[in-house]
Amino acid sequence: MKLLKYTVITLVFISDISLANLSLENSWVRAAPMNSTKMSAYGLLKNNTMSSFNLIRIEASGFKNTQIHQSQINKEIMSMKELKNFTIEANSEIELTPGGKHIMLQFPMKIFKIGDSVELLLFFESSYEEKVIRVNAPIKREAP
Amino acid sequence: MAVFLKLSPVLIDKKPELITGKFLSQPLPIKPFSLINQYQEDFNKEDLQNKWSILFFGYTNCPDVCPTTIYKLSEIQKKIAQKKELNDQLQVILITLDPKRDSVTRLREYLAFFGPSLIGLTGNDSEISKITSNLSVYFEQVGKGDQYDFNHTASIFLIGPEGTVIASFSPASQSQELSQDILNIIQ
Repeated sequence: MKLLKYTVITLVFISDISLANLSLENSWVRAAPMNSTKMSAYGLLKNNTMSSFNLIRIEASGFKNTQIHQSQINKEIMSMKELKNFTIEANSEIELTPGGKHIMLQFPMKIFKIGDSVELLLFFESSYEEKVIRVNAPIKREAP
Repeated sequence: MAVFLKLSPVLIDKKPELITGKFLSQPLPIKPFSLINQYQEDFNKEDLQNKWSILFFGYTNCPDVCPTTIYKLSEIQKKIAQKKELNDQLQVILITLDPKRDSVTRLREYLAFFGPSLIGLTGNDSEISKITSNLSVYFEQVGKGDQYDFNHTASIFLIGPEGTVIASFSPASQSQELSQDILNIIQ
């Protein structure tokens, strides 16, 4: 069914400097103390296509589970929730940033140090195609 | 002369303009509480006197806002410590809202990552509630099992050498602006 539904399956291998039409630029993962069960990844998600894309799955090497979450601060109260439906509209950008939307990386299966990187795979679909973004997000103390 | 004398109290009491925080209309006294730090040493309201304190409430399993804020505060503490006259005059304190998971060992390991001088406080629920109630800090557990999170007040509180809360800042504050505000107050 998927072969009928989708005419193109594009696998896009990109670095942070990319000419691809769906990309995650300036990605990074905040370094966390040892034994932390969660870490967060950030970057600038860009969609330079004429279609909107839904995020259907994220995988992160070295982590058991990965989700998109949104932090928000309302009247000084911080809350966080999983975004089960995440869409990036045509010709738009979404910033994944501390205190806002971010990729939550859960249950690391190894120790990540500053200078290491995490391979992120973001699987998107539109009404007629699938795209996969692969980036290596470096572990840093603060945004690059 | 009479006009000058009438104006003087206003001039003396003038507070600096804050870029990103706000002064409380009246300093808020800290009520008695009894917690322990990451070295299992007692910490109570007397330990907030005779120096400036930055207070933040959070938990070590928080993946986003808490580590972002603690990193920001640790950098501010390092910057202020470089000023000879302010060295050792500022302590940065995290009070955990999650004493069940944030043991002294966990706090020690967690805060050491951000800097050698940060203080982490934990204790039983009733002692933590004393200070959260005092400062009107809201917190609510979200989720079940071992992977719960908290919605919580994420304000940053500045406590003066008299042991009273004098200002609060948003966790969304930019580092540079927060640093400048705090320096302007404590210098």
